[in-house]
Amino acid sequence: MADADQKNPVKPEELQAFLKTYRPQQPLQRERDMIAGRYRIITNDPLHELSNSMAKAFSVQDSENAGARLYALVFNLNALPRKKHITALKEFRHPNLVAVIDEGTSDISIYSECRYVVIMERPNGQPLSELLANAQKNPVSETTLINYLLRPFTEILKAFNLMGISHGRIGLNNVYLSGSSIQLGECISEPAGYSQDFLFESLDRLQCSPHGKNEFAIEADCYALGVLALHLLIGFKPYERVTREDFVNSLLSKGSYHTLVVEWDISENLQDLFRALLNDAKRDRCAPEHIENWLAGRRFNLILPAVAQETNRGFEFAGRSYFNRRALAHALYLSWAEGRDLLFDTRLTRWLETSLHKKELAEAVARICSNNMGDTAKSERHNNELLTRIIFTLDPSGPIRYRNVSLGPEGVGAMLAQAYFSGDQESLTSLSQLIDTDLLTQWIEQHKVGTDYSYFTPRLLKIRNFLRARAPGFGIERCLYDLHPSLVCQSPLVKRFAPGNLKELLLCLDTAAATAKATETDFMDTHVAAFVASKLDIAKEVRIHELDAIAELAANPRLVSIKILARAQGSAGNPSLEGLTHWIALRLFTMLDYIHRRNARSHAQQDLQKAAESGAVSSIAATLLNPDVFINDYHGFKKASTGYTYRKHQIAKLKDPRERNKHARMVGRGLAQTLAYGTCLFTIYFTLRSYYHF
Amino acid sequence: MAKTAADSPKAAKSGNSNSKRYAILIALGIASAALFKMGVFLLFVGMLPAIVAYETDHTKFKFLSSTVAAFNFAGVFPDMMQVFIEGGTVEILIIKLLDPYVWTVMYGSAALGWCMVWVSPMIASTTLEGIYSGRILHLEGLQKKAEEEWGQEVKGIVAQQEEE
Repeated sequence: MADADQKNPVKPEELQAFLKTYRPQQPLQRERDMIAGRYRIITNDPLHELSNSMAKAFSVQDSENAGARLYALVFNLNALPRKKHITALKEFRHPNLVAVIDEGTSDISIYSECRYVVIMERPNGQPLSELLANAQKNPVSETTLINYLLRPFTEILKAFNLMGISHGRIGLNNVYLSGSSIQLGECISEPAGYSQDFLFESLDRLQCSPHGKNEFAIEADCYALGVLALHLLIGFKPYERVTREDFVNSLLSKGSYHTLVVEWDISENLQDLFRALLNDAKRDRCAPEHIENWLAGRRFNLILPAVAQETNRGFEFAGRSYFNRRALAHALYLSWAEGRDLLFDTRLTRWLETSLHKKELAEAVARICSNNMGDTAKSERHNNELLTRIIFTLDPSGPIRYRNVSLGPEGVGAMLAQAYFSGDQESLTSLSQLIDTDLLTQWIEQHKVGTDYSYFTPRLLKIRNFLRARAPGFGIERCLYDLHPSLVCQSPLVKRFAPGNLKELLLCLDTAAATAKATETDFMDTHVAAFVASKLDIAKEVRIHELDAIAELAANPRLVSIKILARAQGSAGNPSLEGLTHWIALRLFTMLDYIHRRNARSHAQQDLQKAAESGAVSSIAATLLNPDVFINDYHGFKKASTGYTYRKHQIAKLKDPRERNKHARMVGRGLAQTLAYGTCLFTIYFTLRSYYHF
Repeated sequence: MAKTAADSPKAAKSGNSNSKRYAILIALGIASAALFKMGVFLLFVGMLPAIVAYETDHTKFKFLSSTVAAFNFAGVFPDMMQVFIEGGTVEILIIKLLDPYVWTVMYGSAALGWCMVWVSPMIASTTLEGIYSGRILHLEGLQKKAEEEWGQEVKGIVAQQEEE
């Protein structure tokens, strides 16, 4: 039987031939331009006004309600839709908020690939930005403002707060007016506040990178509602020509209330509301419940916020004078390299002590500066961390600012994704370094007033470990999938199918087996490994303990890959994956070369082929991770190899004429000597015998 | 200078051992002279080839000198015994020394020892070649079997590099 096997060995070409004609039994079914068998996406009717950088909008026909005014948001493959919001808002309806109708993945004909799609109610009317641009100072009355804007929007924000979500896109571009009806636009297509107009952002969020804002920030929505109310009240866009930089500087030097409100003639009643809504101190800014109380007639009676100047003697930095810590912290972030120079002198400490009279703060900064490790390239990372600590000390209410990145802890995921997908290596390095420190967790610890982000700490510690690990299933890709569970697998092998869960991914890989150049392409890349590891919640590096005796195989990434895939198949309900298993068998065929004993290798090849035909990755794993075969063979081969080398040396020695002659000389002369001694003894014996007759 | 200094203890040691050896030889000579009388003289004259062999043999195992000495002694011993038995007188010694047969036997046996030392490696070489061929065949058979069972990689990296 063994001889017969050896005469008909399995060839990889047979596996390849199977893949060429393979058609999946259970292909991943996606409807073309359709969601839930009901909403047809009209791909030749794009809606540019509702599109954004993450998703393109198209009109939609509802087969069950011809009159419905709907549109579809077709997301880019690397977009980060707010899944939590989508799930929550599918169940929530409010007349003043565009409704989320349905969601799903569809094969979009114009892109020739599958995309995640959300069906939305189309907003009524024109965006306020257009109306206010056209109008010549058309203010609304206080009563109208309260009844048509504040009351409904407060109800929405209150509901959002209860659902644990925040909107993040309240602004003139996303609020629609039709007659007397006002409607708030969608908030599901972009990370929180990504494209938010800077006028509508509170200072702490304005200082963040666009992707780095905290996901949940209901107080930021209240702030935006305040700015929106102010615009409607004054009836035009007074800050249309103000640049972002000037606006930020104004907020830093004067504060939001003084920048936005004081110059307008507004009733005492509304001033009271604006003092609460546009408060720069997050802890004093009112929540939706407080606005509701105000609408019910209760007053906040807050004092007029002071102008944010802390001293008359400014701190000279980067060609400008700064009169408060917050503005200086912001400048240090913007001029990072110059800011790092402050670690090596005492100017800042002196200014804090003499001009601001903050002795404790000066001592804290001096302590941080004293830890600098000199101005060398080697110490740059350490000094960056020190500067972040100084900025944090100067402005504890601001975001975490590190070289190139400014963010809240919840913004880590979106920033990481943005830097990764745009190939921004500098930001990626900065983020990795930042995650590797304890700066983020310290920030969370000190920001427990207002929104508590401490739930995020374990997740940060987890991704820190993932970033450090180098095994399949870890690294930056793993962080992406862990921080964005809704992100579809980004592997070029399957990306066009937009797999969002394990089963979909496996079916996509099974389909890809027939089309991918299976002999050249691996069935698992960093994205597939990270996606699977994330969905299976693999926290530790996977090792092949069965083959621990052979170090080379125990950490072999390909063997680790099949172990991970086998677990994924089990977790996905064991769908048959004949294409994928043949692909794996083809790619790992050469792995059997580790088996040296020809009989055993031939048997293993046949077992591998049978395993491939079974469609179960676990069968492949059982064949390839069989310790009996590999370890017995390994030890046997070691022994055989040692014996072979020994015999080889023996043969060489036996064939060497010099060696032979040397041996012959020794043997011959030894024999001659023995013969001589014998002869001598013989003679002595017989001579003595002849004389003494014994 | 250093070499000389280093060599001097060695040379001194060698000198010590030589003088010891000569002292023993002299003591043995005196004892033999007392026992065998003129037989000792015959022994000295007869063993001259062995003495030459000993002086010229600088090998570790002293095969040459020991073989020649043993054969030489076998040639000298019968006549030496005869001189001893017959009283060990000068007369019997002279009779022996004047007999060419005695010289032929003594020095011929030494020459035979020399021949044995010269011929024996050649005989051994021929014999060993036969034995070695058999062993090589057996070992090569085992190598071939190992290659068939484990493939060429059993030769190991060293073998592959050698082939390259």
